[in-house]
Amino acid sequence: MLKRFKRFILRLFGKKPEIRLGIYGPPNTGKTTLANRICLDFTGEELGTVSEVPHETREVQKKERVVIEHNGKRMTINLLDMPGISTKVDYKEFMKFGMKKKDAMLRSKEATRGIVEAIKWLDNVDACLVVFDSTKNPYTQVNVTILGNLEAKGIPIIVVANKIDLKGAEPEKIRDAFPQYHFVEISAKEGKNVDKLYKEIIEKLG
Amino acid sequence: MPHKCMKCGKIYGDDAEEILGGCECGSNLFLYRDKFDEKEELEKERKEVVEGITEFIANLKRDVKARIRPKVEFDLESIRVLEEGVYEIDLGKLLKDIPLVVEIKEGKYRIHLASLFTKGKEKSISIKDLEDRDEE
Repeated sequence: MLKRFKRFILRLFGKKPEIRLGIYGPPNTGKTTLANRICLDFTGEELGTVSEVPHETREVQKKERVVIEHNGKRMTINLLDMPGISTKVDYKEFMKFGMKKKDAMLRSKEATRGIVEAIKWLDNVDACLVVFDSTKNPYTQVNVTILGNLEAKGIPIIVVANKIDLKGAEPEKIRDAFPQYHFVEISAKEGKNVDKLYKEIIEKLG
Repeated sequence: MPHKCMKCGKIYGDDAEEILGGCECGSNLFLYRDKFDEKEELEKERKEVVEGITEFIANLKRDVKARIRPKVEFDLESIRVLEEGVYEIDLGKLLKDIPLVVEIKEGKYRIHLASLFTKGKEKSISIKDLEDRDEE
């Protein structure tokens, strides 16, 4: 309520507020790839490292005052790339990627701590991009729980169906699963449709 | 119209001798009942007795059950350590405004005190919180 009041006052005096934009979603959906794409497009620097091993991002990555632009409209965001949210973290999954047991176990602990951190940050974000993998089934407990809770907290959401460059991608399944939210299908890796996403961010979350 | 003995509850008609001479229980006090339906009164008393007995038996059963099987209800854990390096996260509980509780192993819990004092809003854990170790 206070956040909304502050934004209202800022707008009243012609100042555009900065918003804290959290990138949420399950692991390996391309959240960091998207964060990197946004940062590269508007600041020329990447934010975090990308890996095929799940839970690469285990701490909240922040990039402050990123000014995004579309068709002459501007908006300043503080970008927060969140650790992937899952209901189970198993070190054995990491060992399949050639990781040593000791390292995999440490990664598992850090990933679990990261999930707690990501959820803690829900109280401090103004808006969210919820990123899904278009090649995966959208009807999962994690997806429904994340979206349901963001909605309950009154946080504006854009559902982002990522990885549309991959064979077997079915972004329409994600759109049909969550029709009540703003929706954009993109390939963060190839930059496809990211312009549409910037437009949505400025128009729907600004 | 009926008169009810205030001591034993026996009912007498308007013209009964006992109203003047006294009830057979010895009492001389009678309560005048304007509209009295004996059947209705009996049914009401019967219901009260049945309810009383049912409640008494239910309480007795509950007490006995509690004595035989004392059970501690504990369903608060947000994170379960299935084995070292394997964690099960209950997102629903983590998102609720309840303290962060890690079940280190069956029956052993770690309660995150910061989240306890801030009604669950301060949920941060360290890696050590996930380990089965004795508290310093």
